[in-house]
Amino acid sequence: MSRKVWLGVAMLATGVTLLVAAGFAAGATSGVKTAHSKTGLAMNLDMSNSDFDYLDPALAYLNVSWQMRYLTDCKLLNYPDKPAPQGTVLQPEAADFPVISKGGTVYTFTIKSNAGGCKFNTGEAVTAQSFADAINRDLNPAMQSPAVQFLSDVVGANDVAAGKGTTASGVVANGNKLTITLTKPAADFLGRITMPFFAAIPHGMPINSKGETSFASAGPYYLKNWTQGRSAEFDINPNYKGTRPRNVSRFNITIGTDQNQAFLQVKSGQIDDDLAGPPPAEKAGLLSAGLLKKQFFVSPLASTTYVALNTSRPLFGNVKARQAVNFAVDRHAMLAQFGVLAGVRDDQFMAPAVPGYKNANIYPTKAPNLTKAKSLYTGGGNATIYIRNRGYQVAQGQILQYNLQQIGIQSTVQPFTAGVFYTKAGTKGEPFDAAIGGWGWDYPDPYDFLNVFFDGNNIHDTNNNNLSYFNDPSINKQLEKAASLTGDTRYAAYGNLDITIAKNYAPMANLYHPTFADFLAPRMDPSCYVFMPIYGVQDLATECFK
Amino acid sequence: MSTTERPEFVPAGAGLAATIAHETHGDLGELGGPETAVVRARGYWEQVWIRFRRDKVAITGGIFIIMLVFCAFVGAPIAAHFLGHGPNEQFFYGGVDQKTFLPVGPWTWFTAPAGSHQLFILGSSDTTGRDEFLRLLYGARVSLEIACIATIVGMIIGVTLGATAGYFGGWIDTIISRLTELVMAFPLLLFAIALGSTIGPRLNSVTLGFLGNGVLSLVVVISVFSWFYPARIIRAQVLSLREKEFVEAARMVGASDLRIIKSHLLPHLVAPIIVYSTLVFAQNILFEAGLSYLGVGVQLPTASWGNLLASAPNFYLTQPWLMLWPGLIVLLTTLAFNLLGDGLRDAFDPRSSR
Repeated sequence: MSRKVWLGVAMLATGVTLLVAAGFAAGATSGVKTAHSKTGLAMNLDMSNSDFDYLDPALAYLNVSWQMRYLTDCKLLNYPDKPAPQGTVLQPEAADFPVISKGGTVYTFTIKSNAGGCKFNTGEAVTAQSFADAINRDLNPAMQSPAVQFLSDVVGANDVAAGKGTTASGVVANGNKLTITLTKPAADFLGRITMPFFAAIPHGMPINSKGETSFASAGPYYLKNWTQGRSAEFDINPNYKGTRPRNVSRFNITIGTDQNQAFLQVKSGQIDDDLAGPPPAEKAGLLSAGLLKKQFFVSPLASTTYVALNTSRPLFGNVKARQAVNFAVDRHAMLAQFGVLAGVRDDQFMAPAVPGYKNANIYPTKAPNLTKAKSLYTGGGNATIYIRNRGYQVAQGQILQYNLQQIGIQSTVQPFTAGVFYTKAGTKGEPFDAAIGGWGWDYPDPYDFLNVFFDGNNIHDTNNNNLSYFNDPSINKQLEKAASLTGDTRYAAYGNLDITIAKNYAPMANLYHPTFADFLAPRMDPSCYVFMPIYGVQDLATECFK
Repeated sequence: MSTTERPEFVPAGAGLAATIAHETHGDLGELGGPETAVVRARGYWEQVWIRFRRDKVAITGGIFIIMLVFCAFVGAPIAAHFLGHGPNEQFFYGGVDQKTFLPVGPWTWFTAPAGSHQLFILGSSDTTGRDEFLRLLYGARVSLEIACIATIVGMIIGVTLGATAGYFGGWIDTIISRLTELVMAFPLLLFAIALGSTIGPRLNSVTLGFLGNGVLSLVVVISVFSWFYPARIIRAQVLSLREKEFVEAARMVGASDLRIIKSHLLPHLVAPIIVYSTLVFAQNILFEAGLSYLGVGVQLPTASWGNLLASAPNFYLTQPWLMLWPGLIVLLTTLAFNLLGDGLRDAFDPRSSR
C-alpha cells in the first residue's frame, strides 16, 4: 500500500483504539466497587435544576440545604439517624436534655464534657458559647435571618432583632452551661432550638447577610468547598468523635445538572443519586420495573405545596377573589405534574401528620368547581405568578394560569431557580400576585405551619415565609394564643384555626401534601437508606454501598 | 421607414447582418426565410425562472414552504375549528393518562368534562393535556412570524449598512466594517440570552394586535444578530458595482449618491438579497427554536417549536415522539429554506452549469 493509505489506516486504528479505551474507562468509573467494602467510598451526587439557597446556618432554609446542614451540624439536641417514628424523637447530642424551671420559662443546657463527640474541623472546641453565638448571630438584624421568628419569645431577643444590642439578655453561656430564658412557657421550644439555625458555630463567624460560603463545622462532616451554581464538596470531619454514622468518605455534588440527564446517569451508575429525585415522568416506569424499595424510594412528607395569594396587592387583597381561586384551581392536575405516588390532595395548610390536623373538605380537591368560583368573583384582573423553574413546576404554573383564565383573570408566569424564587417572593413589596411555593415542617408542631404562614407580626423586609403577606390582627392574636397552649388543647386550637383561615380568609390555595422520591444507583445498598422524617430528606450520613 | 409591423425577434445566432436586415425591414440586407427558426429574446427574470425550475430539489423546497405557510396561517384555524379546541386549552382529564400521569399518545379520542368529544391527532404535548398537533401548527405560525420579521429587519439593516460602506468607502467603510466585525465577534448565543433575559420580559406582552406573546422580543433579539453576514455580502457586491460605467454615467448626469444607490445599485443587489434572505430565514428559524428551548424566547402558553422541544425531553424515555414532531418540522423547514436558497443562488448566476 502507498504511504498515504498506510497513514490513513494508522490514524483510523488509533482513533478506534482511543474510542475503545474511552468506553472501557467510562465503564470502569461508572461501576467502581471495592470488593467486600460497604463504607469508605466517596458518593457522587447531582443536584438538578437548583442550588443551595445558603449553607450558612443562619440563613439556609431550603430542604436540600438542611439536608447538608444535618450532615455538618452539631446541635444541643438532635434527631437520630433513623426512620419514623424513632427519627422524630429528640436525643441529646452536644448537651443533655435541659433542666426546665421557673414554670417552663428557663431552659438550662449542660454541655457534655466532650460535647457529644462534636468538635470543629479546625480543632476548635464546642462550648456553650458556640450555641449562644449562633443565637445572637441569628438575631443580628444585619443577618436578616428567618430564624428570628422562632426566637421571638426569648427574653431580649426582640431588642437584638431591633438593633438595640448584640446579645440577648435571656441567652447566657457560663462555662459549660447554656441558659435560655423565655418570656412565657412554650411547648415547642425544644423543637425550635433543634433547628439548624441554632447549631454550634465557630467563634467570631462573620455577620454576612449574603451568607458565609466557607466556615468550620462540628458535625460528622464539614463543608470543604462550595462554588455556587457549580459544585460542592463535603468531607469527613476528622475531629468528630460522636456516634452518628459516617459510611461515606466524601460527598461530591455537581450543581445545576439536568434532571433527565441525571436520571440516566444514576441508572447507569455514573453517579449515585440526584438530590432532586427522579423526573416525575419516570416514576411510573420505576414502579412498574419493581424497583420500589430497591433503588426507588417514596416517603410521605409533612409538607405542603400551595399557591400563596399576595394579599398586599389589589387583586388578591379581595377575599372573594382568593376564595374563587380556591374553587378554580385544579388540585388533581397540579399533583399529577409530580408523577405517580406524588402525594395527597388537600385544601388545608397543615399536613395530616401534624398534630391537630382535622380534615374539613372546604374546597374541591378532585376537580375544580368553576361555577362556584365565578359566582364568587367576576372582577377580572391581571396577575403575575412566580414559580420555581423545575419541569413539573413550570407545568403547574401553566395549569394555574389556565385556571385563573377560566375565571377571568389574565396572568403572566415568571420562573426562577428555587433559591431566587424564595428570595424574591420573600421580599416585602415584590410585585407578584401569586406564587406556587412549598413548605416542610421544621419540627413536628402546628406552630411551624400556621404561625409561620399567617402571623402578620413576623413579616420582615426580606426572608419572609408568609408569602401571602397575610396580616389580620384577630388571626394574629388567635395564633399567638394557640402558641401559648400546651397538649391537646394546643393542637385542637390549631386544628380549628387551620380550617377557619382556609375557609374565611383563604390567603393561600393549598394544593397537596407531597411525597419525597429518591432513585439511587445500583451500587448503593438499599438497606442503608433512611428517610429523615423531620427535614423530609434522605439521610446521607447513613448511605452505604453494596 | 416602412409602416408594416416589424417582427420582434431576431433569429438566434443570426449575426449582425441579419439583425440589420430585421431592423431595416429588409432595406439593408436580406431577411431570413420562413425556414429560419426565430427565438424569442428572454428577459432576465425569465431566464432566472427557467434555470430555477430545472432544479427539482429547490422546487420541492419551495412547495414545502408554501404548504407550511398555508398550514400555519390557514390550516391552523381550520384544524382548531374542526377539532373543537384551541392550542392552549388544557384537557387534563382526557389528554393525560390518569394512571401514569403521562401525556396520551397519538390518535386519542376522549370525552372532556364538559361532555364534548375530542381528538388528539398527535397526542398530548405535555402533562397539562394540550393538543400537540395544534401546537405544532400554531407554533409554525409563531416561528415563521419571528423568522420572517427578523429576516426583513436584519436584511434592511444589513443592506443599508453594507451598501453605505461599499459605496462611500473611506472612513465610513472603516467604521461600518469594524462595527460589523465587533458584532460578529460577540459570543452570539450568550449575548442573545442576556439580551432576551433583560429586554425580553418588558417586550413579551407587546403584541401589536396580531403577534403572540414574546414574538416581538425575539424579533428584536434575533434582528440584532442577523444583519452582519448580509452586510458583508452586500458591501462586497457594491464595491465591485460602484466601479461600473453606469454608476459613473449616473454621477456625470448629476444623480445624487442616494439616487445612485437606490435606483442603480439596488436593482443589481436584488439577487443576492433574495438568496441571502432565504438562508438567513433558515438560520433564524433555528435561532428562534434555540432561544425558546433555553427559555428566553416565546413564553408559554404560546406555542412555538422551540418551547415544544423544551418540554419534550421530560418524556423522551416514555414518549420519544414528542421530540420527534417538533424536531422533524424544524429540520424539514430549515432544509427547505436552505435548498430554496441554494436553488435561487444557482438560478441567479448565469454561469451556473445547471
